[in-house]
Amino acid sequence: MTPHYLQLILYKTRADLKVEAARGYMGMLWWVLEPVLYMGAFYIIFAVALKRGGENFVPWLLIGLVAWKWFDTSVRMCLTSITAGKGLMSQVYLPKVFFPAVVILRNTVKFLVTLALLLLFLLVYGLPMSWQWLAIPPLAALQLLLISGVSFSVAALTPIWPDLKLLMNNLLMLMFFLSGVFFDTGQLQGWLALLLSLNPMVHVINAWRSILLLGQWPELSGLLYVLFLSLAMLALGMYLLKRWDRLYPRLA
Amino acid sequence: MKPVLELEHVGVAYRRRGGGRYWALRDVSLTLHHGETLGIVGRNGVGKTSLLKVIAGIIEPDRGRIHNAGVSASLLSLQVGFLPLLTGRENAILSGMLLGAPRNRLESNMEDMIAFAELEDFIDEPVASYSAGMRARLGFSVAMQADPDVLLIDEVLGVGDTAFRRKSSDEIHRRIRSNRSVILVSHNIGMMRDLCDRVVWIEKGVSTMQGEVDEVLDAYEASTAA
Repeated sequence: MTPHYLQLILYKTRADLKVEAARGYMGMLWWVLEPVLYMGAFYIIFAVALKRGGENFVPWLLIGLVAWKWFDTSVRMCLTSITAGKGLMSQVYLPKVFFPAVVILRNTVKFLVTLALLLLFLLVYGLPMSWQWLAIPPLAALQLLLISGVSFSVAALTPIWPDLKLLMNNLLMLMFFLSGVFFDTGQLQGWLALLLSLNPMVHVINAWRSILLLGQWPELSGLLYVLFLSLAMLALGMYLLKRWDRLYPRLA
Repeated sequence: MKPVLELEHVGVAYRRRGGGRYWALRDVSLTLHHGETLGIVGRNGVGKTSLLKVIAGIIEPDRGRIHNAGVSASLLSLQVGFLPLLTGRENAILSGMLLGAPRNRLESNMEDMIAFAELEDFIDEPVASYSAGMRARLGFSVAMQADPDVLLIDEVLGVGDTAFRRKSSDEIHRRIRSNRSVILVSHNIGMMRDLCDRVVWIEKGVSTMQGEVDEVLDAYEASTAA
């Protein structure tokens, strides 16, 4: 990856964000409005309508949702990123990592806006700011690494094996329900707990909750697993994108 | 003279729906020397587009070899990656970078680009508001910022309205005549005679003849007339 392509990825990300903002009348306001509506819907369903959960249930739920949404949206959009770039890649040579990288960065910018809103909400809700907030940047970086690893891999594979798109849509749904967004994975025991702990997002969401809700440093063993898994998937994704670099423009 | 680019028995096959392969390019060998303009002639559908994509490094051949003396090669393409909702200026930078031009050079050449495209009053308007002619002018002006060692041209066409068509085709002719290495695909035999140093004739995916311009083109014309 030369500096030119890095610059290009950044410029294209900015350009895509601008296009997105220019599309509706309300422009960039949507970056704030969308997460507010998204979180608001869950707030109404669980806190107001179902009157569910104990103390701090709403912030507990929102933290999980925000972390999950960043992962989910990025991976879903990356599934088709290379196929969508076919017109471009048959006119000019581009290293194929360009396509998922732009998608991931675009979603990361939007996640950061959402995160700022979430932190604001937590403060208004009455949760204190703690030293553990210092762990936010490294945790976000780790999640970005995980997203990149998974996204690069699925982006590389879908054009070769289109069935992966349907498979991933269902797998992401399953992962969503098993990631502990709606329930506390810590209450499970035995083989079920072990099975669930294979899902990297379980550890990431737990870590976000430790930091933001409980004011505790996150548990490192789970995050170490996430780190190794992310690096392995990143290596796989980069390898496949490189291997099929000049094959993608020929696939219909 | 040392060749900058050499193709040996290159073939490209596409998978057919329902199995089997279709060889768009069967056996092409050619040599490009530094600073020369090499013409490629052949009927429609003989794989000229696939050949240019192989040389540009966009696709990989299924057989044969390419020797590249460390040169960059890219297709002359217009309006690459244009996003209608961005301004002309933003599109010029984005498209120029996609074509391989560094950002700082695009920024320092911006005034020239705008002047060439005759878009002084509109450059900060979204491209969606441009007429087709204005868009073509901007696309051409940006494409001229690409600076590959080997320029690949699939038909020299002027773009835009009458006046700009002349201006743009003059600009391409000027580039072809310069000291740059060029591979030129065209159906315009008269222009090929005028611009090329050597010509390759491709028939059914095979490079059947390569050499002096008049010799190859005379043979090609004799075969098409028959």
